[in-house]
Amino acid sequence: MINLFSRGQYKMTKNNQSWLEREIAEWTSKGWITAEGQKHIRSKMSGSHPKKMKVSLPLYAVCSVIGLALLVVAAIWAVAYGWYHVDVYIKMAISVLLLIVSQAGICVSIFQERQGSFMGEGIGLFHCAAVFISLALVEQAFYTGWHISSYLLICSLFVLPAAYLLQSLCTIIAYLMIILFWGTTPGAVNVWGGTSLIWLLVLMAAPAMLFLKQSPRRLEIYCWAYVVTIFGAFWIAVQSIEYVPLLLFSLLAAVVILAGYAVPSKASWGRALRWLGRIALAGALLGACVSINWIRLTRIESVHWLTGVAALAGVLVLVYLYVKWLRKRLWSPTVYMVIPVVLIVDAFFSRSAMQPSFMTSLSAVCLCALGIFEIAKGLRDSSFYHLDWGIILFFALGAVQFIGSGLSYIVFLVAVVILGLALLQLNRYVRSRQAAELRKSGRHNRRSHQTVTAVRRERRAPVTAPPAEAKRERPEWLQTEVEEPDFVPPVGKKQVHVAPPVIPSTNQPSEEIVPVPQPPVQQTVVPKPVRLPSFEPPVFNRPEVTLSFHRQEFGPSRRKAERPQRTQERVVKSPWATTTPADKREKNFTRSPWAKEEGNKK
Amino acid sequence: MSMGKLTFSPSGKIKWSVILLTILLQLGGLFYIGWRWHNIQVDGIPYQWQCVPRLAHSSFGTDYINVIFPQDMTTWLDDTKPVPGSTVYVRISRDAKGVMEINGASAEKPPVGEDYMKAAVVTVEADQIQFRVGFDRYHMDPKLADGIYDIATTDSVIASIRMKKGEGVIEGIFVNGMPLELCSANADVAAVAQHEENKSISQSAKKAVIGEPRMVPPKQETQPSQ
Repeated sequence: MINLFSRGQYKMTKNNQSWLEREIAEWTSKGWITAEGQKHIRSKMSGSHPKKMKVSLPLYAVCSVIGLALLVVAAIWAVAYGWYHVDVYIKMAISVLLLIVSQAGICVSIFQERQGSFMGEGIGLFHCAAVFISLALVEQAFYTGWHISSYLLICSLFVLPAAYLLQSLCTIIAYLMIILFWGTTPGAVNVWGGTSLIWLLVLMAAPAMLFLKQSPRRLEIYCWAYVVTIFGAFWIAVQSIEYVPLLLFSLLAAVVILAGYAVPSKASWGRALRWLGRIALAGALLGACVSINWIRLTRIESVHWLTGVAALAGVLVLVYLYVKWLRKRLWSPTVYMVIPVVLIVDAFFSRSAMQPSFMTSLSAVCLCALGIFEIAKGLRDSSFYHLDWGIILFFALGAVQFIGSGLSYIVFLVAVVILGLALLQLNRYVRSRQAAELRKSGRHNRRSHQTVTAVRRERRAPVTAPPAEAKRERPEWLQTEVEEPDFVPPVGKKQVHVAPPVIPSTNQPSEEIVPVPQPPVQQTVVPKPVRLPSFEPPVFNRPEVTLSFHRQEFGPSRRKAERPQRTQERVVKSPWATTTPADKREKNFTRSPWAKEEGNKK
Repeated sequence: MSMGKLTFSPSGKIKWSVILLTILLQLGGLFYIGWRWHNIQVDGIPYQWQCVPRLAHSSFGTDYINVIFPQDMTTWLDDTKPVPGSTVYVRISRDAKGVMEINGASAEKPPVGEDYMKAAVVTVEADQIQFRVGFDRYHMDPKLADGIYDIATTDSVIASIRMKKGEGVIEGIFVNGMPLELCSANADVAAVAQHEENKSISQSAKKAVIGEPRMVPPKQETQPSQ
């Protein structure tokens, strides 16, 4: 639905913003605000407006896009009508020309040093499209056979240099998507190198992190795409195995989640690793709840030494990473690290010809515990993500159990409805709790509960020592490093001393409440010096007397001083005070036109 | 874990060398595909293979028809069974008439002197495999493709193919010895247009004509029936 009013709203917002920009510049020139304060205000303004711009979708832009698409379709139809009569060498010339134009774009972008900019991203995408079109055009014109896998492989190899040269995130993501698509095509894993080729191709995109680390937002997007590609490549690579290698998958996911916890929590790209690791580990545990996976593992007669060695190496790597990488012993990675251990135990029992129901029950219990942990964490920290994630885990476990039970689908639908209602209710509860916390801390509608007098009194009050909540009330740019909320295990070699909780039930972890040295208070707004007016109103009642001007302050005292003087000098002369009679006026009677009515009758 | 001071900023010389190499590789890839097709048509060994033409459908129309080769089963010569989708080498030869004969398939190329064609495995059954070759399209004018409807099951439909290093290109399709283009209802119009085009080309070339224009080859004398 197109919001036609959004354009006007956007325009108004834009006008306000430009007005504010001018005002900020003026305030800075007058010295009312410091340069740092100006920078903070501008950064806050720039962060608050793009959200509104995303929503606005002008009507003419939509019409232009639709019209352009129709024109392109018509052009393709027109070209296709006479395409057979076009000489093959002209087709070759067209494809070469298209490729050369895109290559020239790359050269120009590098020459102007536009790598990593919006222009670089656009040229990178255009180059991707040019490579795809040119190669397809030539393959069709000079046809000796169409192999989608070889076509995608060549395209990916042609696109990758441009991604590095332009430092383009979009091109890297396109490259990763091509790899995944290539892996799903028939015959892709049968080419030279087999399944190792897909890992080689995925690794070729890893150095892109080096040029993307300058922009945290781009790095975060890259991390999401790259980890998804790794998991996708894993499932493509294991297609030829007779069983689902849940253990290997969980080890891979555990490495990812540990890497996510190892990076500084201030870095946003660590969040992608943590969440994708959680999802993958829970998925592995969910797969262990299905009995067919363990039955397949039991059927294998020979021992897969390579898989066993890989699993052992994975466990050793995990232990090393847990000891060396993790800066703090947090509950979340510790709990999730239990999942590979559970799967190792399951695999051991499965190979010992144990009934699959034992493994599935053990995995289901672990999944329940994980769900309870996530829900408890979500309720404790008022975190929607963890709360929803815990409920989803229960929902997925129920779905898996239902599929294996053969119950009616009505039961499943009823369970979905009940779980959905429970989810809604829990969300409402957490929201209300968050609002209560905000009200308690005075951040929620602070001004709406106070009168003008109270605010003035507060301003006049002498500045005292900052309260305990000062850290939370400080602006974002003054805050110190913020850690992800998490529990801290009670025991451990490197246990951090936990200070007595000053702020109960907040998003800050308990260990973050340890008092930190307060940075010097920065005064953003400089008060304007009071300048007394030099103008005094002249009095012309007695011009012969030379007035002596004295500097007086504006205010009620000056008015009070002037009032009696004015009353003395005031000329009291009422118009009714005189007794002289007024001159008699001559009366001019007017006659009505109907006064001659009788005459008309005649 | 931190990335330290690792950066990606190759010097200008390396950067421009990479650009130049990329340009050469990309353009070289396009030219190689064109050269390969041309080379097969010129240097390839001609074969004739039984086929079944089918119309191709697309939203924007096509300038080709699909070609199906019914002889797509052969004996697997290796011990290890192939995986469906993998590339195998089908050994071929030709008889006195130039018709292709299939002599089995293997995962490795045959020894030098024996011709072959690359194919993808479709199914594997006992010691037999079903394969699919790459050259399964024939480019032709879409207006003349309606001749496919007139092909009967008793007709002999042969594809003329050129093969080189396992790759193939279809040169033409003949129905009872007649090109498929001439089986169309629009063949007369197309023939007239082709004749006019050839005429204009010959006039522009101004080739020297040997002999009288009205000269016709002598008729073959028929043997008197005894």
